[in-house]
Amino acid sequence: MVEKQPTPLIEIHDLTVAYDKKPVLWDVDFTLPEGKLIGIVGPNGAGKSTLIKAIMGLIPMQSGYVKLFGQGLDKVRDKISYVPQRESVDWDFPTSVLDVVLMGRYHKLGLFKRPRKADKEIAMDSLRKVGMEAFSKRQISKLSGGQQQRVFLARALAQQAELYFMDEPFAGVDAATEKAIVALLKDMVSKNKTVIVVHHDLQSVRKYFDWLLMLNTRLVANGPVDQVFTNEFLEETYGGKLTLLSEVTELMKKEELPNREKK
Amino acid sequence: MNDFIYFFSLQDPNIRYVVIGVILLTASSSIVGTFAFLRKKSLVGDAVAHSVLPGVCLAFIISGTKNPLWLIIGAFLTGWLSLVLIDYITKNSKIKEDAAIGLNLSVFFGFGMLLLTYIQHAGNASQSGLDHFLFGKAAALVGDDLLVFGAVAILLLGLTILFFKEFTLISFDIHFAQTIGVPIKFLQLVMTTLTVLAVVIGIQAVGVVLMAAILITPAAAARFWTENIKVMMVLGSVFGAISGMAGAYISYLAPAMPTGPWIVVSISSIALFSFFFSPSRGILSRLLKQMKIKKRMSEENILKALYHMGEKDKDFYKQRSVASILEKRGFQIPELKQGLRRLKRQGFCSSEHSLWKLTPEGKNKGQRTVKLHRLWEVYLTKYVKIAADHVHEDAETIEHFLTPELEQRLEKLLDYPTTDPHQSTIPYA
Amino acid sequence: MVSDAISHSVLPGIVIAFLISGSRDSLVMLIGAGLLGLITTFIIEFLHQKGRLQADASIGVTFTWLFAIGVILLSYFAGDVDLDQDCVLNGEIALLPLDLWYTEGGTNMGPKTIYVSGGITLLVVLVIYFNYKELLVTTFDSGYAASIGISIALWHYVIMGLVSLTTVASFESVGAILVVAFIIAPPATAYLLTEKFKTMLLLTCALGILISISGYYVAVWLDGSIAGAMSSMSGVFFAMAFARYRWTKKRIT
Repeated sequence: MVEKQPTPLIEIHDLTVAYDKKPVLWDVDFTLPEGKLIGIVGPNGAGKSTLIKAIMGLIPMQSGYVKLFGQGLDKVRDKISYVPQRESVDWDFPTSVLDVVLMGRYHKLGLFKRPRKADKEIAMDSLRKVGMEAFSKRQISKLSGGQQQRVFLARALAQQAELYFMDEPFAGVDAATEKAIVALLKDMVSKNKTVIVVHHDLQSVRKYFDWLLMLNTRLVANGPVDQVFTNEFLEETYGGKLTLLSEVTELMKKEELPNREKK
Repeated sequence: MNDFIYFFSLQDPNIRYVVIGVILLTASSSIVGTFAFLRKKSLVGDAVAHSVLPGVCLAFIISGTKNPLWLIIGAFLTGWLSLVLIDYITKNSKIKEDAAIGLNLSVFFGFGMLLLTYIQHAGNASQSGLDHFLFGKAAALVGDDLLVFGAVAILLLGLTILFFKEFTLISFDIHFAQTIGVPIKFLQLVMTTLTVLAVVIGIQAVGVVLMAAILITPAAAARFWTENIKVMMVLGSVFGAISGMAGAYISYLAPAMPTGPWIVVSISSIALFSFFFSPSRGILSRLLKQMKIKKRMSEENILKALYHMGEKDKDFYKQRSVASILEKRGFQIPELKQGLRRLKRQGFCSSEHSLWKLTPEGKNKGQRTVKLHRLWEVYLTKYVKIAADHVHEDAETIEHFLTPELEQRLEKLLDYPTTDPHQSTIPYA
Repeated sequence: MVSDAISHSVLPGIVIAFLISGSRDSLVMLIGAGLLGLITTFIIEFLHQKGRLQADASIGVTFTWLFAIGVILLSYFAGDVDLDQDCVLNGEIALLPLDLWYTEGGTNMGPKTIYVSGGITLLVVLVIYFNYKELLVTTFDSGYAASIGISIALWHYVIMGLVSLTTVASFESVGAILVVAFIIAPPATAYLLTEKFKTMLLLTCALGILISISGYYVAVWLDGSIAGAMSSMSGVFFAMAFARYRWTKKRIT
């Protein structure tokens, strides 16, 4: 008898993404376990945000597939939450904190229906968890950067998902907010949720994450932090070893070469 | 006055048609315009307005009649096609959105003009009236038009209410909407359709060029008065309706006056008024705020200078001349004199024979500013690792903005230091 | 899109210039319209920077407002003004040969507009020729331009001034809206065909000529508006360039 392998939570196979002919991610292949706080690190332009955008179906893939919970994205959207970069929206939009958090309930509501009392309670509860309940009526244009990030986080919590993707949640937030967010994420993981965070500060990697994905156009390392957060892999991710690769990708852009033979 | 009463009592059926017609048009287009504005697609309405012309002409050529239904369908089709093309060109080439809009707008309109002149020269007698689509004919609205306008207005309003939640979501954060499985393609299509509908009927009142104004300007004006999208929509349509009535009234008083442009001038006046005088976002109120801050900063700087001098002479309450203060710190003379007078009124200073001295309150206030300045310098050198000779400029500004709460946190964090990086004593109260 | 805005909002300038001077003398109108063009650019920038109104809305609000004022002025002085809305919107290139310039001796020097347009063309070419590198660097990387001491604002207003002048010069012939087709379509088409800035400039001119000639024959054939036909042709050329662009891209991938 063959022992049945548990389905991995996330399975990425042969993922390639290109912007205007220049490959940003190349043949990325990995699986990720459940119930971990997972960091994605790599230098600027390494394709960290691109990776989660591709997983969330926001940008087209040149090749490969993504399986979440062993299924395609459309089947499991309800179990997944995505927190975009804070700067990706216009915070001058005329709406209130509570209304933004309520957006996290929309997928459960469906078209036409208005949020009910239960949804409002969930939203308020989420705000409480990020320490923003006092601000629920506040207009979002009046928030500080750290508060904006907390609102986005509360919206994600209101989704009551199993798997969270967060794009640079610590960018431009104050130290107190960063601490509070990390505590919250650890708490979520202890309840067997999985949180995947795009991160750029190497100093805090050991402190924050259980599992690490190191990326520089291709996948450099994937595993428990203790095993992969080593000088060797860091050198490979951030060091000059990959200059040849980046030169080749530049060349491909210039020459408009195909990056994959069409079958 | 009689004219006024006669006009707004709506006894005259012609007036009634015109007034109700323009209100329906302006109010419903500004509701649709709110979303166009928030999605930063204000000029899309302009593109649609220009692009409906070939549709109208083609519909006329094909059907041979001026039946408004045919013309509206034709207008709708080309207006819509142009939006789809703008989207396609922007997504599939390096052409930027504004260039794509300008290109489509002018090419569609040019093609429309070609067709229109072709029809005119072909000598078809029934063609007159097609140019209503160019310049609008608000003053000549009749009962039948009202039925069409009313139906479209109700449709616009109904769909907006129905999809309000989703429209707001995709206007605010389209990526998030996509990840939770909201059918964004479908909803964008609905939004586009609503915009085209609003334009197609609105254009008959104000004409091609000015259509963009009744879509966008009410929303832009309303944005300056509220932070709530629902209020913004209602306010926008009220602004739209008011200017619609104003335009109709003016052209009633002076029949030579075109209605459409007056509607636009009215709504633009409301908008300009809002841009300048809105209490929270207006240009004027922001200027006032800046001036207040500037005044406060110069007051605090004067107190600080007096405190510094007192520190040096070990006498904070010595009388000092304006010239000696100027020696300490380079103020503008009028700035200094006015500042001193204000400080006297507030009780921070007193004066005798044009010599000035601090009151105890003034000394405390000056001391606090000096303290904040020095604390901040310590913070910058110690925590942000900025060289000691670089921190002064920065502290000059920050000292005026630190709140008592931040002050406390700073003191605690630095553990009540006694001297700043330049070895000056930090004065605690 | 700013050129679209300017092409519309110069209208009050033209009307006012006409009222003051009482003539359809092109030079006076050019000055009036040129001024309004700069004022438009200024208002748009002001609302955007000081009023914190988003860029697209400040363009939309400004040009519709000024255009509406222009139309109102037109209809208010309708009796005195030998201009009408139709002409402003569409122009009448076919009538140009009738507006001739006679010297004092009575010699026929040909249509006036040719001289005005010719003068402006010369001016534009000279400005571009002598300030090529400033224009290039401010268009490409305004941040860098500012860092090496080139005034972005100055060159922005120079370009906008040229745009207003060109607009006004052409609007008599082709009308306010279709000017936009001539300002945007050729460069957008050239942009799809080449990557070099210089080639793009030359290609743009060539396209402009091609569009004018082919447009004229289409108009004659259909007995329709010449300006309308020309901008339709610019659309056709753009569509061809776009098809080529997509096709070469597809073939690569």
